[in-house]
Amino acid sequence: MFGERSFELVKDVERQMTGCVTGVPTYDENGVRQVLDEMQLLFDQNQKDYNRIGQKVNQNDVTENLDVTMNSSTSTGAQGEAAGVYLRHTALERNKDCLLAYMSTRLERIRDLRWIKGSVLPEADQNNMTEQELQYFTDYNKILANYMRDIGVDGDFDGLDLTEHMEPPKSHMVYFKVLKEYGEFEPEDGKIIVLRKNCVHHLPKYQCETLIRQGVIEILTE
Amino acid sequence: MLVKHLRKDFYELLFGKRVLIIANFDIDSVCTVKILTELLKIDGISFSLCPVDGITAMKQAYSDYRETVSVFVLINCGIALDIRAFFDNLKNKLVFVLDYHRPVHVNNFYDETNQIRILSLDDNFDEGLDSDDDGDDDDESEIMDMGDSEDEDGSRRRGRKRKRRNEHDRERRRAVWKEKRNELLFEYTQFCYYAPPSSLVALELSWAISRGDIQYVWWTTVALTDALLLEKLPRSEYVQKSTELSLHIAREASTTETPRDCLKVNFEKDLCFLLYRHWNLYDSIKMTPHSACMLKSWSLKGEGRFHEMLGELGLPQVECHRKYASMDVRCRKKVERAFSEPVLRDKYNFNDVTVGTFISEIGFRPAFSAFDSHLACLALLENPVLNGSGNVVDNFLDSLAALSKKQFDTLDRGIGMAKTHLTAMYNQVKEFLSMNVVTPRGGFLYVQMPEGSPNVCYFRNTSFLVFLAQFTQRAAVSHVRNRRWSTLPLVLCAPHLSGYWVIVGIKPLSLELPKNLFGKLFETLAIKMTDGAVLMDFLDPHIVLVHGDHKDKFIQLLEACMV
Repeated sequence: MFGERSFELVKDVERQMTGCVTGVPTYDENGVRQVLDEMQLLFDQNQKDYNRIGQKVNQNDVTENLDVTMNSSTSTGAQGEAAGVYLRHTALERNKDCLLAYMSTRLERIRDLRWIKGSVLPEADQNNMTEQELQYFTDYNKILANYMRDIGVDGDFDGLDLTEHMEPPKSHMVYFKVLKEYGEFEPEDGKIIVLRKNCVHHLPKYQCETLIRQGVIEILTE
Repeated sequence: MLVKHLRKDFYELLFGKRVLIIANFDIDSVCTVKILTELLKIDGISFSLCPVDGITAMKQAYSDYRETVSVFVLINCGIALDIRAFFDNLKNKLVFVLDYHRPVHVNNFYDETNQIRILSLDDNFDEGLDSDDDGDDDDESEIMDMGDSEDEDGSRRRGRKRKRRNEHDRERRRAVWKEKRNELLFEYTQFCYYAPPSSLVALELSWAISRGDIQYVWWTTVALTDALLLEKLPRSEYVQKSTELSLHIAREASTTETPRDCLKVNFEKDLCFLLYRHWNLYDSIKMTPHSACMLKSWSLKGEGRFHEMLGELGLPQVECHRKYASMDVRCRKKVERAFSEPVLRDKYNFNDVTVGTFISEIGFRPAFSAFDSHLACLALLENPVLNGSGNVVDNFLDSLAALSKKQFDTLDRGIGMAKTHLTAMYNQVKEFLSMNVVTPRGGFLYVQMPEGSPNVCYFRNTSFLVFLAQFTQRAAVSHVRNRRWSTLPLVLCAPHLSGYWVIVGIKPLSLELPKNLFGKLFETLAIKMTDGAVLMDFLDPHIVLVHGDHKDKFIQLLEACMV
């Protein structure tokens, strides 16, 4: 039956996605090709039938005035063929939808992987992807990086790593008190801060985790 | 330079910069810092906060951050200093000064490079200062103009002759001008006083950038209460400013929804007994300076009268000793009416016990008046436990935390400490009066706290020290019944850390306007003393530190001056 293979493909990809949460399943090249072959077949058939109907209709136009009864008998034949064309066309559409669903599910997963695994994917995942998918991943990477660099350019800090936080933070700044004499601290952006004991600061979240772990600063809660 | 537009000329300049806030140790600056930091946090502007308790600490904070910070905001400190000379190397820096101390140093007001900018809401900003310097600028330019025009015309000889005469003339005029300038400057700087609280400016700023919030108004009322309680503003001005604030409240209240846990602030007439809502009525009336002085509750006779009065008002002793919140409801309801009865005024000379103040409520928690919050914050700020270790910043942060509406436990702790502070203050005044240590010396009343007194630790910081001095003065005047005493200023001397004594001078009781001449006086005396004997480190000029060995000499000099 038409469309069976493509439905199989969709079911497969869904099964794979739920089975493996952090990774790209293997690209089912064989399945995709089979669906495409089927589609090619359907299309060719349709093309043939369509041409035939076209010819018949043309003939009908010529003989229209001559014989009405004959006309009716040929039109039933054309109708049967038209129904075939319609059926095949629907099957074609369905195959197309299934293929697109397959592709887009995979792309969605690839996009998610950028947020989970960072800008460089592991070898295993890369092997499971097609050439075009790899290209997509690189493009997406580029766009995201550009966007993150643009955030807050007119503000105090340049860019913000959006992938850093699982949940959106309430603020990109941190309000803390210095517990020990530390001296100069140079964050990523190179704007040096002097951390003197007992001073309170409100600064962008740099790598303050390290300072907290060292016991130099203490976050002040509101 | 005076900042004209708070948003354009101040707030918008802070974006993208790192700001250092240097804040003095008083309640007004706590409130101002609270408002300002909330605004900066919303806009994601990075800042550092350095609370300082003196001029040296202020300089230290500046030199620590000079390299890394380009915008400085001084809150309640620095306006009386020549900032350009005090902070060396001001290149590429901006200094905003938000200070309620007056007088303003002339060089700050007329800073040529516009790096020092003063934030103030006063329309008639220091009339004296304005007029005198405008005048002298004109004079000077006039002199210059004349010189120029003379150079240009006429033959050379006549020109030279004229030039000589002109020079002579110019010198004479300059001398006159200088004399006039000095005179005006002296007149201007003679008295130190306070402008309305800085929080009002911060509140105005929050409104100017459309970030008004009822909380900001509440914090400002706390700062305004500070000005009333410590007599930094005349009472009339308090009334005027509180009317302005109730307009703000009306505006904010109409725009915000009222869910159960939101802050509600009302302007109401309330009894002026300090902390009575969170204490018992008896102690509160006994220890509030205003009522204590009317009743003379420190003496045996006064206490008897006090009991009698409570009886006459129909308030049983048992109920008055109970916590106000757990008083009998019928009794509590009649308290307010009882204290407005005319018998009090006629028989006990006990009047003026209500004051217009702000009451805040959050959800179902007991109400807080602005006085309660103020005293709680002040007690946290001047917490004697941490003072010794020099860890003043924690006190400042505690005080800041007590203002926020989520940290009830800090506020409750503050209330508890405020009670201890008030009790200590009352006991100290009682001790002064029973030992008869308040003595007239020359042109002022002098009182010295004994060195071993257990209460010393509560009065190391400025606000409670001034409060104590004011209470002592009031109590002494009502105790002695000598009319002349009310026209005398008072000088209080208390032991401080490491061999130093802190000396504070306050204005005479009869003087309505809170103008204090001790600032200038102490300054002139300090010059006469040997080096290191007098430290003028406090940001209020009428409070100085004098070394124990030189204390008596200092007082003698003061006496000689005041006679």
